[in-house]
Amino acid sequence: MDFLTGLTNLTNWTGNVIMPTLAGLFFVISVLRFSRSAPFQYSLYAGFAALMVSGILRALERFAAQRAWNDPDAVWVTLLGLVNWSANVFLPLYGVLQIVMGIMHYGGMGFRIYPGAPWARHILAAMACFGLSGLLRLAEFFIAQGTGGVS
Amino acid sequence: MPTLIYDIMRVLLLLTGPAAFICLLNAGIALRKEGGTVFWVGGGFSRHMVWAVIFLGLEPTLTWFQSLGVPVFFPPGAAVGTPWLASIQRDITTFVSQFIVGRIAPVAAAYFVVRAVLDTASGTGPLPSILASMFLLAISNTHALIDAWTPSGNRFAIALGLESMWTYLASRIFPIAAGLSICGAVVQFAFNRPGYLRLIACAGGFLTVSAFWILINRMM
Repeated sequence: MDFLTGLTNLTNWTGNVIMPTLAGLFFVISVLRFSRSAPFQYSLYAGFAALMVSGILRALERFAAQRAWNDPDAVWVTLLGLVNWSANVFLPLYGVLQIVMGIMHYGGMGFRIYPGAPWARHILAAMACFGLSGLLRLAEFFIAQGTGGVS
Repeated sequence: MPTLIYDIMRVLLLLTGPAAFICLLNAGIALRKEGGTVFWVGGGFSRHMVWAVIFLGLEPTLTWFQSLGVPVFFPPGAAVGTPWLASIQRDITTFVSQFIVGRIAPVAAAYFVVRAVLDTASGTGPLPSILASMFLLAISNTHALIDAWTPSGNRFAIALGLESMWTYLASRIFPIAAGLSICGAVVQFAFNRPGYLRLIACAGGFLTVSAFWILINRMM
């Protein structure tokens, strides 16, 4: 028994077994909070993040491995990689989402039919309650597809 | 020099290994006391770890005095000639290896597993107690590692041991800890608690600590 093996197994177990299981719980919390009109985005995004622990770590490793371990610029390049990814990968995708939401609002979903209306919220919450397993499988599918990168 | 003096010297040198085991046990307990995921500078954990290295690197370090011109008389041979001294050495070694390392350290580790559950019940995380438990279960292997890091023929064995310990921490332990840090960040984010960005930054820091050390060197 050595400490490194124990720590490695603990990390693998937490990241690959416990966190994907907790993802389901985070989605449940998200649906419950959504049904009560409470902020639910944290739980929803956390559910996705819990499925992507390995991916997030691989991303950070990729940012850190752009320079050799003994290169003093590695710290700066790691931070630069994170900033570049946030600005050039994450923000354009988020921008697409904003455009979709803008079009939906322009089409009247913002004031005639919108998820904040009590009846629509309850219907959506009921649909999520009945189909949560499917939603979780969908999230897993999106994340499994995402391992190939954005193209 | 009288044989008895040589035998006392032999016994003391042979007892450095068991003493290092006691230091590692104390270090594991101090690790939990000081936070589990962190340790105090100059606190119990760092003090006991340094003493473990000193005990395991003591014999080669004594040759350092010879290079300064101070005569150091090592007893010839490893066997203790005086029967009652040999018996004391054997009994203490057996006590430490079979009772302290074989029984007490696993019990202390099991206690910390219970403590991890109680920590969770009281609202703090279980990770500090789990890490202390793992440390205690692994003291035999840690002892062997430190022993290998303090080469017998080198008078700077203690410094080499501490250097190797730093390298092991930075290159082996920290990259694994980055994964745990990401898990912690996700949990913090899920419950809308502050600190998840700090944990992401920690993961980045864990992965680049060697480069950070070289950067600090270049700045000087």
